[in-house]
Amino acid sequence: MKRLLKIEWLKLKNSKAFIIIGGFYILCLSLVTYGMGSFEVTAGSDEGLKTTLNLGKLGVFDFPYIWQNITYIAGFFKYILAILVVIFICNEYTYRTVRQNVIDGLSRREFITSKLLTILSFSVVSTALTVLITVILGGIFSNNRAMDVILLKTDFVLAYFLEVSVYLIFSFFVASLIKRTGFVIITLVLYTFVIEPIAVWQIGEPIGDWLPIQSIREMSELPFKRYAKDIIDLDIMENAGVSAMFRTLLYGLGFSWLTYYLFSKRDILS
Amino acid sequence: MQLERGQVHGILGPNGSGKTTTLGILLGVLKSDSGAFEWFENPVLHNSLKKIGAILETPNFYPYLSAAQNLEIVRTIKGVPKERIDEVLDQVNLSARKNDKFAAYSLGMKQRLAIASALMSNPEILVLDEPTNGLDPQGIAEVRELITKIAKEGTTILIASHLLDEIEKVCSHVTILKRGKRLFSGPVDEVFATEGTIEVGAENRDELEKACASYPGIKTVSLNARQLQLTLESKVDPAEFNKYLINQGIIVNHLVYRKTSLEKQFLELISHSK
Repeated sequence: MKRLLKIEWLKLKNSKAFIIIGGFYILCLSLVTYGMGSFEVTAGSDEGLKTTLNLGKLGVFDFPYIWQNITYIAGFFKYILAILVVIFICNEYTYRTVRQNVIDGLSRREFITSKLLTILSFSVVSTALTVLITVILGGIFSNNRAMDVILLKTDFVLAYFLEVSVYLIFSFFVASLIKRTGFVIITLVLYTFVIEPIAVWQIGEPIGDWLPIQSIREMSELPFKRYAKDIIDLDIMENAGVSAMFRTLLYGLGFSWLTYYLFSKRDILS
Repeated sequence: MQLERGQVHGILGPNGSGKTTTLGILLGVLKSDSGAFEWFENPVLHNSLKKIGAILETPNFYPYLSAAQNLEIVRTIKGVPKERIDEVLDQVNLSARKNDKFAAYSLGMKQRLAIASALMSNPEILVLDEPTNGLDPQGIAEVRELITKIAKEGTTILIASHLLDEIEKVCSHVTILKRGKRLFSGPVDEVFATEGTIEVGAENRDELEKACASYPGIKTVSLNARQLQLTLESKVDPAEFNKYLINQGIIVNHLVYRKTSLEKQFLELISHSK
C-alpha cells in the first residue's frame, strides 16, 4: 500500500496541474468558509415577512452548528478535487502510461487500488483541512466552547468525508469509462446538475432518493435555514442522514468494484 | 512458440500481421481470444513482468516529468534500488540530459529512454516492439548497437520488427507471422536456407524443364515469362550446371544466377502461404 501511494505521489508532486489546482482548492476552501461570517440570507416572501440575516451575527461559527455549516459549504469545493482526479486519470490514458505501468509490472488490481488510495488520501486531507478550519474559526468566534458541545454534530464530518470520497470515486469511474478529460467533465456536469436532478424530480420518492448524487445530497441540507426558524416554520435537519450515508457508502463500494471489474476485463489499447 | 534463455528471438511480419498484438497479449495489456502463455513457468503475470523489460510501440512516459523522475516511477513499480536509475541512464548515454523534461526529448532520445527503462530491473528478458521505428539512420544505428551489446551480455531478447535486415542483424531465432498466423518458427539460418535462384532459357523449353527437374540441388522449377525460374536448396555452381545442360544437348540462350536477398525470400515465404 505504501508502495502504491509512493508511485502516485511521484506522478503528482512535480505536476503543475496538481500544485495549481490543489493550491486553488485550499485557498478557496479557507477563504469562503471564513467569509461565511459575512454571508447574508434572505428569508420569507415578498408578500409576507421578509428579513435579511447576517450569518456571522447569528452565530454561524457557534459550536456545535458550525460543523454542519462548514462541511456544507466545503462540500461545494469537491468539484475542484473532482477535476483534479479526472485530469490525472485521463492523463494516464492520453500519455499511455497506464499501459506502460502494467507492462512494467503493476497489476491491474494494483493500478486501480493506487488510484482509489489517492482518492481516499485527497478525501482525508480535505476532511482534515475542513476540521482544522472549523476548529480555528470555532475557536475564535464560537460563543460556546465547552468540550461536550464541541463534539456534538461531528457526524457531519463523517458525512462530509463520504460526500467527497464517493463523488471522487464516481468521477474516477466516469473518467475510466470515457478517458478524455473534456468529455468526462461535460458528462459529470450534465449528470450531476441536469440529468440526475431531472430524474429525481420525475421519478420521485422513494426510488429517486436512491440515485447516487441524490444520496450524497441527502446526507446534509442547507443549514442556514436554522437561522430563519424563528420567522418561518421549517423542518431542521439536526443530524446527518443515516440512510443517505448508507446509500452513499454503497455507491462508493459499487463504483470502486465496477471500475476494477471493467478495467480487469478490458484491453488497454491506449 | 518457445523462447529459450539466451536467444535473440525476432517476430517478423508485415504491418498488421499481429506482432504488436502478440506482444500486447504476452505483456498483459491485451486479452487473448484463445490460447495461453507463461513466463518463467510462473502463473502470476505481473510478478514475471517485473523481471521483464518491455517497450510496446511508442515510448510512454509522463511528459511533465524529467527522465530521472520518470525512471523513479518505473523503479518503484519494479522494486529495484535507486542506483539503477543512473546506471541505466549511463548505459543509453542520457546522463547529461537526465533532468530535462521528457516532453523536450527528441524521438531518438525517447526511444533510448524507453530502453533504459526496460533495462531497469536487470531483466532476464527484454521485449522490444519495433525499437527503431521512426528513427533517423544515426538513431537506428545507435539503438541496434545497444541491442547487440545487451544481447552479448546474455540477456534474452524478444524483438518484433517488419524490417528484415534488423532481424537478420540481431536475431538468432525468428518467428514469422502473417495475418495472425505463424508461418515459421526456428533458427534464422534455417528460414533463409535457400541458396538462391537461377533463371535459365533455351529454345526447347520442354527438354530444358525436364533436364532441370532432375538436376541435384534444384527445389522448384517454375515458368517465369520466357525463362524458367529455379529455386535451389543446396549450392549449385552455374558453370557445372551449364556443362550438364550442354551434355544433355541443350544450348541455353539465357542463364542468370542470383543469390536471393533476404527481403525477397521473406516476401516469397509470405506470399507462398496464402
